[in-house]
Amino acid sequence: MASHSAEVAADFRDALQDLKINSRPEISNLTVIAKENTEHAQAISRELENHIRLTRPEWKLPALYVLDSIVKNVGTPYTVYLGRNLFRTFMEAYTLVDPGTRKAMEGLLKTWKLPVPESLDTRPVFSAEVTREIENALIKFRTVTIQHQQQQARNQRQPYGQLPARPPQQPQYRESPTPNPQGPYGYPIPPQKTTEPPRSPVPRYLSPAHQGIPSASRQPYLPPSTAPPPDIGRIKDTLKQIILSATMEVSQRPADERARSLLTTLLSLQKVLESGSLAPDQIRQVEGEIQRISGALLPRTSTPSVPTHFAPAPAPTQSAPPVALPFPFPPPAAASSQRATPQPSQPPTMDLSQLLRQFNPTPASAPSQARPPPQPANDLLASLRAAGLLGGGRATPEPSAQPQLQTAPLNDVKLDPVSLKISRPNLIRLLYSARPDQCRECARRFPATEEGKKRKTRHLDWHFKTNMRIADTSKSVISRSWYIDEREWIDYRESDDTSSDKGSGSSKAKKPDPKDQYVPVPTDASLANAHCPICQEKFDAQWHEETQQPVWFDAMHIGGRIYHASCYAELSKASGMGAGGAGGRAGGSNIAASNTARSTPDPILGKRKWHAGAE
Amino acid sequence: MAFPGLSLPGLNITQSPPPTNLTTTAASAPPRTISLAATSEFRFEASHNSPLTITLTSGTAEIFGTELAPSRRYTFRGSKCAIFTWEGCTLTVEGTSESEYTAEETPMNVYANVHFALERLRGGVENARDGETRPRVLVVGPDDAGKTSLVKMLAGYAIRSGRRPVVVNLDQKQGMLSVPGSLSAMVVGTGLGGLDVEEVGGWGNSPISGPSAGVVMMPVVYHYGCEGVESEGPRGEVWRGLVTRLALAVMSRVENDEEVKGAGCIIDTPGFLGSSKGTSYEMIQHVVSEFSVNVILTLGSERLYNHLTKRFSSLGPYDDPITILKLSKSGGCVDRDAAYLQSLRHDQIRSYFFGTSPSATLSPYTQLLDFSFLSIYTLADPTAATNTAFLPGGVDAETAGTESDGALFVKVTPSLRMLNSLLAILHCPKEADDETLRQASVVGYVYVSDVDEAKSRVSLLVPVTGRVPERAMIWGEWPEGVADLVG
Ligand SMILES: Nc1ncnc2c1ncn2[C@@H]1O[C@H](COP(=O)(O)OP(=O)(O)OP(=O)(O)O)[C@@H](O)[C@H]1O
Ligand SMILES: [Mg+2]
Ligand SMILES: [Zn+2]
Ligand SMILES: [Zn+2]
Repeated sequence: MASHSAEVAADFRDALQDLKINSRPEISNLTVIAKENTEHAQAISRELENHIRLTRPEWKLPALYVLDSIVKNVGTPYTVYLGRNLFRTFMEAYTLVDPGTRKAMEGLLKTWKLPVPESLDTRPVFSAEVTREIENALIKFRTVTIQHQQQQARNQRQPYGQLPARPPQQPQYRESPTPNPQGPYGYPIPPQKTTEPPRSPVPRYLSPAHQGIPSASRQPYLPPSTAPPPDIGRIKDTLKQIILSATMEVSQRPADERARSLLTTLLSLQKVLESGSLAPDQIRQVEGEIQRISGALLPRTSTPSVPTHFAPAPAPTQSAPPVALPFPFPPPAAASSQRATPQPSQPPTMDLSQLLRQFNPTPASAPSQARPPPQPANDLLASLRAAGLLGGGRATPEPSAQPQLQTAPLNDVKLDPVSLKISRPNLIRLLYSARPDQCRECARRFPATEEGKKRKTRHLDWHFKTNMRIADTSKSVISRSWYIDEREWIDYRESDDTSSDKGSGSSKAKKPDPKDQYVPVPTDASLANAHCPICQEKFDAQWHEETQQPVWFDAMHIGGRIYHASCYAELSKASGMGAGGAGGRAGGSNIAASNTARSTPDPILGKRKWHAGAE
Repeated sequence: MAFPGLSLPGLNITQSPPPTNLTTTAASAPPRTISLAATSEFRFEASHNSPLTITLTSGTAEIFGTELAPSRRYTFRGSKCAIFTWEGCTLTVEGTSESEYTAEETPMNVYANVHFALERLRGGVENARDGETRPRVLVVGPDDAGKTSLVKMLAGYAIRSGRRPVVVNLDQKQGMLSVPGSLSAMVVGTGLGGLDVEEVGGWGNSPISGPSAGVVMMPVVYHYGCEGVESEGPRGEVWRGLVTRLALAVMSRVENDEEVKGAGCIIDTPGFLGSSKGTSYEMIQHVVSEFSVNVILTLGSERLYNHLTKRFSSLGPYDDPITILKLSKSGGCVDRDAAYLQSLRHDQIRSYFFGTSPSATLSPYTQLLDFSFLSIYTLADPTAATNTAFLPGGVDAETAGTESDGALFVKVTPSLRMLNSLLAILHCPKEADDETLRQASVVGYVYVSDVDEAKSRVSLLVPVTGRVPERAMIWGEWPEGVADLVG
């Protein structure tokens, strides 16, 4: 029986291996195998689940159609077996596939909430509990995905569809007349659009004098379909702010000729912009220059980077990592990776001299691909002058203008009434564009450095995991914790586990997810009702497929007691420095458990106390 | 056909999630777009009953120093506040407000500069060693001068500058991460962008037993339990003692926590301290000396500023120079009437037990306890039981003392008078002397939902599951009972 089961499973597996496209005959065939072997449903279901888990992302959808076909055409017991792991099967696949496939999967999920069409059975294909759990996860998932996408969109201005293309797979096979999920391709992610500030209408195009310049052809780096029209209002605003800071410079150092000439240049640039005689591409170049100048005016340690919210063209210094969604399942090897054309490592913006050369009667025949290092003030000034756009301010800038501009804005605010009154937009920028990389969930900002990028990724992971945990615990009872004692508070150390690599960072990512740890449900009745000593909650019993026994997931033995693995991880993560996020809970439960909290500490707490006392 | 699935093991223990609440608040008024010019603010009052939802659709904006995430829907209920923009922004507003308008005139420029000036005091690593220079900021001013808002701003800007100052609330009338009647302190900047602008009180949450997507901070809490603050009498003694105790905790924390060290602390105070009445100056002086305050920000009172300048110009016992500044009050500050303040208090108490949907829904428990289990103390003040109004300096310490053999606290048997009020559980044994009681920090609060004097039993609403900690409890005279908390 068992060996026969294995045989059937192997047959089924072989047939599955060949399924690479949405082929109706093949899916029918697999469905028939399943139907004729319901006594091996468990083995077949496991084969199918494994296949969906392990096969390449682009082959997952056809396999999911097999699942769909089996549950709809055969039904029990497959719905039972497959339903049990459906959350995992579905969500694992969902995280790894492209948006089009996701859309198709969402379509499938929708049909699973309904009865099988034309069937007498009025129950939904899968129970509402199963589908609802998935839907909850999808909601959380989308929240985070959108964030990642928005971040990517900001960083690299690539349409989302530039993830590796997959062959179009229309979900044609379906016995049921349920609506096919349409448009598996190019699934638009609307929030990406809505979060863009509304663009003002495209400014007036070339004035007659410049109409001959085929400017678009000069900028191969700007995919015309993807680059939004430049937001001239925004550029002007930025320019205005830079002018303000430059004015500050001048007012603070009246003798400084360089600051003065930069200001003059900026004012001229403003005039050119106001005249409305620039083509969109030229405006983009102006914008690039402005960014560079503002970059120079802003505090910045190393790499020239770009304040996000007005940066249309430049790519990040390094192509952004794939969506790399943190999902608490072991990632299969065949994760989707970005195979798009490599990004240029430098922002491919032309500098303003080239732009302004276009104003000359004899424009350069072809823009040079080699880019000079950014020399905003001088280049700009020189080219403006060359173009005859620069009015007064004959002062010749010195080549050493730059280093001065690149120092952080001087914080000279003193606690006196006069100093406090001066407006300092350049300092305000320290709170905003100096850290351009923003988390769209909590608005926290990160600097545009490699380290900042890493921290942000970890931070987004934290949001994601938290959201997943919230979805996980939506059924458990949550309450306010007791406050910790004064002494504990003094020794308590907040750790920023939302972005530091201590604990929740890269090193921990290799460790198994605590949620996947389990202990068999104790047979001893007194233990079977045990609470986690940290959070005081009971454990959730679940069936463990591999070992065929009821287990408590997210649980582990420590010194004769059973803890939630995640609670313990959280506590020990922080206990190096203090009690961490679980301290309050632990402190509270401690108090509740005994009359003299301090004298009978929990083992873990005892250790922390000992730490504190040992100093 | 065989159906082995019918007898599958473990099926009865599969989990079924409860129905989720995906209901979004229906906006009664059509969404409207508000365009704010740079350095202006949108002021609004959201009613308790119908929430106001605001989304930042372009530009950047902040609420009392905490930046808003773009495109995120923020929901406000029963709050009066302002969305300020440095660079200009557009907002989408849904729902009906009690009032809303845009203002160009704000003191934000000065407030932000105060932050930058403090940043200089916080300095770099080399300054962090120098304990004397880190800012310990006291904010004083009359009622509704915008003190708390300023403290939030300074905290928010500090967080955004990568700092983790300690924020101290000495205003017993409004709790911070706790109920009214309490004093507390916490380290801000625990990973998220700023404070939780949607929470009741606008700070965030104290820890809960599950994951939270919002701002969670760990406070240390002390119980004061009187409406007014005063310098003399038993209340004064308690108040002064608690300030000393809290200062000790904060100073120890600041000394020992490297992350906090350089950032210093920011102290919010009750309006009475800025009222220039009675013993208010003595109380300021007490706070200044206990916390070694070196920056005093006075808000909206010329008289207060002048007096403090005089008082602290000849430093006497203070070696550290104290910088005193006069800041103007924001035109947006709303005078909050008694009814509004009361509903705010009730919101705070409710959210302590039940959380604030949707960010957290908490489940407190009801427990029936025998009188003998409880050890409840109350302030031995003859005026306390009958008179909850504040009498500035009007309590005769000697009379109060003689009434109860000089004891500060007396033990009381549960009675119907406690119905609907809060009991503070202290971190100290059931049998404790005055000294212990007035210095212990708070474990948590329970709410007296019923007293059965005949059966000698109390019914308590307890925030945390499990046994009620066997600790001393304080029954304060304030805040007033909340009749509709349960049921
Ligand atoms: N700029 C503003 N626009 C709109 N509302 C504001 C503004 N500043 C403060 N408020 C509101 O005015 C009220 C009073 O402000 P706040 O609580 O900061 O004053 P306070 O001095 O701390 O008051 P109290 O003395 O009661 O502690 C609050 O509801 C606050 O949200
Ligand atoms: Mg206040
Ligand atoms: Zn965030
Ligand atoms: Zn636990």
